[in-house]
Amino acid sequence: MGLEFRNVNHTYNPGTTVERHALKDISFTLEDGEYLGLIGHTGSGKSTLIQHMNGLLKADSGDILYDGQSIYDKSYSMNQHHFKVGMVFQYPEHQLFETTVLKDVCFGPGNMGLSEDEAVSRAKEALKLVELPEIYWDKSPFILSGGQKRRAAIAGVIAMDPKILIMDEPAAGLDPEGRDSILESISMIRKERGITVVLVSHNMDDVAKYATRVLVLNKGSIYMDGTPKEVFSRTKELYDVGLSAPGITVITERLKSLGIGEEDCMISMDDAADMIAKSLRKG
Amino acid sequence: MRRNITIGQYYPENSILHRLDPRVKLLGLIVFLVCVFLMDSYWSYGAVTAAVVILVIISRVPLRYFVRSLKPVFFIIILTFILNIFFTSGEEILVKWGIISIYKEGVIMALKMSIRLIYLVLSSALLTLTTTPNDITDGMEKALRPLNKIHVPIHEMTMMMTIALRFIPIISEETDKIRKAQISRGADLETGNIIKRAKNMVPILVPLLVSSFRRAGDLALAMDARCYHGGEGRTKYKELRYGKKDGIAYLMILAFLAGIILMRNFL
Ligand SMILES: Nc1ncnc2c1ncn2[C@@H]1O[C@H](COP(=O)(O)OP(=O)(O)OP(=O)(O)O)[C@@H](O)[C@H]1O
Ligand SMILES: [Mg+2]
Repeated sequence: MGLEFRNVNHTYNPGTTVERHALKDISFTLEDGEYLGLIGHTGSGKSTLIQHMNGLLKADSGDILYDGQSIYDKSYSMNQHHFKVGMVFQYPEHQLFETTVLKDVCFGPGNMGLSEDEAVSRAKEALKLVELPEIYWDKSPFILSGGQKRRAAIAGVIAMDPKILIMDEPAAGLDPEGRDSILESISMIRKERGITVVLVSHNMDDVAKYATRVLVLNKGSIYMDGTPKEVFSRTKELYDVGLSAPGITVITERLKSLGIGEEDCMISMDDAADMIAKSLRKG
Repeated sequence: MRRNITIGQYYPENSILHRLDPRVKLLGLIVFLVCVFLMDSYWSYGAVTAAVVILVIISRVPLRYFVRSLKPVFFIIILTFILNIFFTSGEEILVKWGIISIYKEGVIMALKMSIRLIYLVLSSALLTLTTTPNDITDGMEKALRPLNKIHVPIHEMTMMMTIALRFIPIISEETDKIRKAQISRGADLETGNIIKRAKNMVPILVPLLVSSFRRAGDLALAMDARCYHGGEGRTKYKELRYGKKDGIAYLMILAFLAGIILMRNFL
C-alpha cells in the first residue's frame, strides 16, 4: 500500500515576486519496506517533497494517499499521521530543548498519549538503537558533541516508532566515521522493525550503498526513478542535472573504457573488487 | 512562512523613486507625515491625495502591494472611523436612533482621520517598497552622522539596526523549521488555554534562543575576524552620493511643504 503521490504540485509564495513552483506534478508510490534514496541538485525540491509526506506542507493540487486513504480527508487525523511518518530534519540537533536527553527523546512518545513508563522505555530503546552511550542519558542535551546531539535528536523520532522514517541529510556535517555509523544504525533499525526509510542525501556513495530505490528530482519534477543500478548507470544524465555517480561507479566505468571488466554499472565496492580481481586473474 | 523577503517587503523595480537617494526619501517621508497632519482645507486634502497618487504611480509598484500594506492596520482604521462617527458631537444631526445620534461633523471627522491614517501607512509603504532595508539604514547613518560630534554612537546604532533587520528573515525561517520539527514530534501548538499554550511554546522557544545565541556568537566572531572595530575610519562599499535628481527632489519636497503651509494659512 504505502504512500502514494498523485499529481502533487506545490508553489511557495504564490502571487508574489518570489513565487516558486517547487513541486511539479509529482506522482509515485513509496512502497512499504523500501529504502528510498532521494537525490537532486540544491533547490530541486527534495525538502519540499518530504514535507508533503508527513503533511507539514499541503499540496496546492493533487492528492497524497496513505494506505489508500487521502491524508487530506477531513476524517483523517493529521496528528496521527505525524506519528506514522517520522521526520528527521536537517540539523535535527537544533530542536533539542529538554533538560535531559532522555526527557527530550520522551517528548514524541509523550505526545502520542503513552503512559510515562511506556514513553521512557521506548525512549531508552531508541537511544540504544542510535548507540548513544547510557552515561549521557541524564545529561543536558546541550553539552553533547555535535554527533551525539544528532543521535539524540534522531532517537527522538525513532522513539515514536514510525512506519516511515524520513531523514533530510542525517549525516551532514559529521565526520566520516560518524556518518557511517549513523547510517548503519538506521539501516539496522529498518531491518529490525521492517520500516520504510527515505534518505535525502547529496552523497551518492551513501545512496548507492543503502537505498533499494532511487528517485532523482530536477527542478521540481521527477527526473529518474529506479533501482540504484538503473539510475547510476545513466551517469551522463546525472551530470546534466548537476549530480554525479558514486565514486566506485565512476572508477569502474573508466576501467571498462580501458577494457578491464565488462559487467554493467557497479555501485558497490565489493562487486567492483570482485570484477577487478577477476580481470586481473584473467589477464 | 516567507523567505528571501526582508522586513519592509522591498519590491525590486527601477523607477525614479527606487533610484532616489534614501536620505531624500527619508526626508520626504518626514515632510509628508507633517503635511498629513497640517492638511485641513479641501484644497490641502486634494494636494496631498494628488501627491500620493502620483508617487504610487511613478513607483511602478503594483497596487496590490499597497493594499496589502494597509491590511495590518485595517482594523485600526475601521475602529477610528467608528469611534469618530459616534462620539463626535456637532450641530447638524444626520441620523438619530435612540440615544445614538450621528452628526455631520462626526462623519467629516471620521473621514478625515481615516484618510490621514491611510496616508500615513501608504507613505511609509512607499519608502519601504522602493528602498531596501540596507539603504534605509545607510541613509539614516549618513543623515544622522553630525550627531556623532555630540557623541551619539550613530554608526553603532545603525549597525545594530542593520543586523537586526538582516536577522529577522533568518530567525523567522529558523522558527518555521523548529516549529515543523516539533509538530512532527506531535507537539500541540494550537489547542488549550493561554497557560497551556505558553507552556507548549517551550519546545520552540528554547531551541530558538539557543540558536540565536549561537548565531550572534558566530557573527561576532566573523566580524572580529575581519577586524571590525566600529565606525571610526570605516569606508563604505557603496558610498551614498547625491545626484542631480536628488537635488530636484529636495526642492520639490520643500516646495510641497511650503504649499501646504500656505494653504493652511491663507485658504
Ligand atoms: N519556505 C520557503 N519559502 C519560499 N521558497 C522556498 C521555501 N523553501 C524552499 N523554497 C524554494 O523551493 C525550491 C525547492 O527548495 P527545497 O528546499 O525543497 O530544495 P532542496 O532540494 O531540499 O535543496 P537542498 O539540497 O539545498 O536542501 C527552492 O527553489 C527554494 O528556494
Ligand atoms: Mg533541502
